[in-house]
Amino acid sequence: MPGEHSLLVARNLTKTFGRFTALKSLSLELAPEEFLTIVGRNGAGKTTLLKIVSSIIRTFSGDVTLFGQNLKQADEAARRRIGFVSHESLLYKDLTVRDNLMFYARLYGVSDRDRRIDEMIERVDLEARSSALVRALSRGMKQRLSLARALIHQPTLLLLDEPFTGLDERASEVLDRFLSEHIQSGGAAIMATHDIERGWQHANRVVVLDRGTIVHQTTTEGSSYEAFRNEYRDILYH
Amino acid sequence: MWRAITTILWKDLKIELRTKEAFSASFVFSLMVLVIFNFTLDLTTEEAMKMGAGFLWIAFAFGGVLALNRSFALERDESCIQGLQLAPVDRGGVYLGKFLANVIFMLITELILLPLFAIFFNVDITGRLPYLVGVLVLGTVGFSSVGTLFSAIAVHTRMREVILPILLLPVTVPVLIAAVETTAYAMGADVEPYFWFRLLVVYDVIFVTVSFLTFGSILQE
Repeated sequence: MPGEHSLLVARNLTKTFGRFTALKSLSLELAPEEFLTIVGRNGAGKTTLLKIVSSIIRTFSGDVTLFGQNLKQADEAARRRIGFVSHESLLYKDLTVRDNLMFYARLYGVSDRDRRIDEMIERVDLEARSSALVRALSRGMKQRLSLARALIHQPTLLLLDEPFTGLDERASEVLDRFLSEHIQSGGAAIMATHDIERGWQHANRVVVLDRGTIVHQTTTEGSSYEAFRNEYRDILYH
Repeated sequence: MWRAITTILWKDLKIELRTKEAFSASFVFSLMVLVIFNFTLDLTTEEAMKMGAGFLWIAFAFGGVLALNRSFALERDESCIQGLQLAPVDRGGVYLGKFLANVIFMLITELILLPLFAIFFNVDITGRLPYLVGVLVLGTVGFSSVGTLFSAIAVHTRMREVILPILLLPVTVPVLIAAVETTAYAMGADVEPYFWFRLLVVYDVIFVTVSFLTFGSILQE
């Protein structure tokens, strides 16, 4: 469970877009090697939370500490420890598979880039397509490549925003395997998803977000998925 | 910083070499502008030296807008712009990488159009060629410095293709006037160039610096 050595500590985090409040005095912690799943309806604030933690959104109120640093002053070294996977690939369709990975490897200052790129291409089963343009890949292949992109610099904290959206079975299996390996190798992750069963399967802790606030949270150890699913429906739909 | 500049530049050049989208759009448009002016107006050599510089920079500016629109449009697909927002690099470096790529794309188009302009308007561009090339570089740097910043702003808006020229053209009026005057001098027109040349240099220094410093807040959501 989170404690004084938490990777992430958010206190009274509030984010508004005009009149709309996306996050309302939200407080949250994430321990090292913890897998936190965030579930909730559309517009609950899941994506906004991930964008704040990843520094894509930098204007908010409240205190957020990431790797022991105030997020608003987080330096490049802190940002280098984050990997981000969303339902969009963040890949350039007019570059090849290898060129896309080379671009992100250079941007993140990865050493021994060629070896690392070969390794990641092999891990996502895209060796035969390494010279293909991204525009020629299937949705599943793109998502596998997007995983390789997010992990090329071996991040400590992986942020996942609806990563299973539109994936075929093979790509989902690759993602499942990557997530398990990431946690086993000492990494932490926050995943926002509508797929509560898959989210539960990977998580140490599940948080239910509704209208920008945490309305329920539970650890998965010693709890059953069925009981959580029933609670989730009761909380959000009754 | 250097890593961000070279990586962004490498990526943009690689995409452009593969697709040639920015070049083909801006080259064809600029060429059409010159062809239309050439057939519409029957200028003497003396008139062509003075007015031709204006036509040339109109062609460069409108063609440049198309290339600049493309610059951040390719970051919009698949939310690639988030990849830049996430990257552990100085955002000023991201700006400089995009800016240098835009300068290179515009200069290539301009250097191909220049001899065609000389043929169409029967103007000798070889008399002060090094000066002319220097003016092209300074004018393009000024235009692209603001253009790259505004392209990043426009990409977040719904009417992005319309917003960019509306924002960009009024702000670049000083650099375009200075570029026209100094280009006319370079082609042999009787113009006093030193004030305009200094204006070009000052504009470039100010707008590259301001754009570099403000790009970080433009890039964030």
